[in-house]
Amino acid sequence: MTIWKIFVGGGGDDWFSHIVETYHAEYAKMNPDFSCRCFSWTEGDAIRALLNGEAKGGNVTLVGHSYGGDTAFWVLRDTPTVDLLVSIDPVGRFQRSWTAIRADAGLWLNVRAEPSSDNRSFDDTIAWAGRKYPRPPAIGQPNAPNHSVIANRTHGDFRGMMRDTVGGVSGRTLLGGHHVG
Amino acid sequence: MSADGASRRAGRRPVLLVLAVLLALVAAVAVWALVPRDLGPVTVERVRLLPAGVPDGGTKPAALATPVRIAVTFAVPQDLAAVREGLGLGYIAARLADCGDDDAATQEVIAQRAGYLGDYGRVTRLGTGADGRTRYRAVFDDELTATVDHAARRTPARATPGGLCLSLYGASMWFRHATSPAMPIATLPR
Repeated sequence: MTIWKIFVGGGGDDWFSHIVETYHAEYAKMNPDFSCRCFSWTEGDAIRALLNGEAKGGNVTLVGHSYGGDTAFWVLRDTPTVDLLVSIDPVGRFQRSWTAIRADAGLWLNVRAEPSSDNRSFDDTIAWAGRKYPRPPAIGQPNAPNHSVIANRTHGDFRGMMRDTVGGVSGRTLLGGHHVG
Repeated sequence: MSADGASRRAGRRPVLLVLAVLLALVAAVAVWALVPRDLGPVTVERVRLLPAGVPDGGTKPAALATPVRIAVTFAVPQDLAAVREGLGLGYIAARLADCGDDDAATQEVIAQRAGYLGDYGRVTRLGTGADGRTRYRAVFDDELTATVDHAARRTPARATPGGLCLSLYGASMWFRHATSPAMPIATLPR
C-alpha cells in the first residue's frame, strides 16, 4: 500500500514564505519510501483529483497549515476519508463546521496557535483578520478532534506547532517516518 | 438644472471622497505588502568545499548530510538580525541557487522570529569588521531543491548549468518579502 503524505501550505507559501513547502521538501528527502506532495491552499481541485485518483486506497495523511488547513477541511467533503488529518492553526473565510470535518476525517489532530501577549506577531493579526477557526470542541465532547493542542506559538511557526505535544502525541509523531527538525 | 439635483450631487461628494481615500489606502497597503524589499548588496568573499565528515558547526540531521558541502563567507552592510527586525520579516536566509533558475535553491537561516524554517545553526555570524560590514559564513548542502508538479526535485548544486549564485531572501508568513541581488560565486571544482 502506498503511503501518501500530502502537505497544503497557507497564503503565500508557494510564492514567497515557503514555510510548508520547505518542510515538505525536507520530509520527502528523509522519507523516500513515502509518496510526498505539496500543494498551495488554492489547489483544492488538484488535491481532490489526487485523493480520488492516484492516492485512492492508499494510506493518506493530509497536513494543512493556515488557509491550507481550511482547504484540507473542504477537500475532505468530496474525497474518501483520510487516515490522518493534521490541521495546523487553520484559517478560513467560509469555515466548515466541526461536525462536518469530524465526519470526514479519520484520526485528526488540530493545533491552534494562541500566543501570549509578548509572543504575538504580525502573522497573528493577519490570521485573525483572515478569520481563524475557533477552538474546536474539547476532547470528549461531540465532534472533537482526537487530539487537540493549544500552542503558545505565532501563526507562522508551523514547525513549532508540528512539534508541540499533547499526551505524547504531536503532528510530527503522527506523521511518522523520519522527523524533520 | 434643478436645485434638488445640485443638492444631491453635492451630497455625494463626501461619499466619493471617502471612497477615493479608501481606495488609495488599499492601494498603499497592497504596494506595502507585495512589493519586495531590498536587502541590500551582498559580497561573496570566500567559497570552499567541505568534504564529507568535516564538521560544519551545525546540527543538520544525518539523514540530510551530503558527501560534500559548500561553505560561503559573505559580507553585508548591516547586521541581518536588525534588518529582519526593521523590515518586519519572519526570516532572512542565505540562498544558494542556480543562476539561471531561481526556483532551484537551497537555503540556510540567518535570522528568524519563530520556527519558520529549519534552523540547523549552519550560518555563523563572524562579526563586524573595521569597514563596518558584517560577515557571515553559511554552509550549504551540495544539492538544490525545487518543487515541480508538487514533488520535491533535487539536483547537485555544483552541476547546475547556469552556475551558482548567492543571494539573501526574506519573507513573512503572509505578505512581505525581500531580496538582495544574486551574486555569482567562483566556479567550484566538480
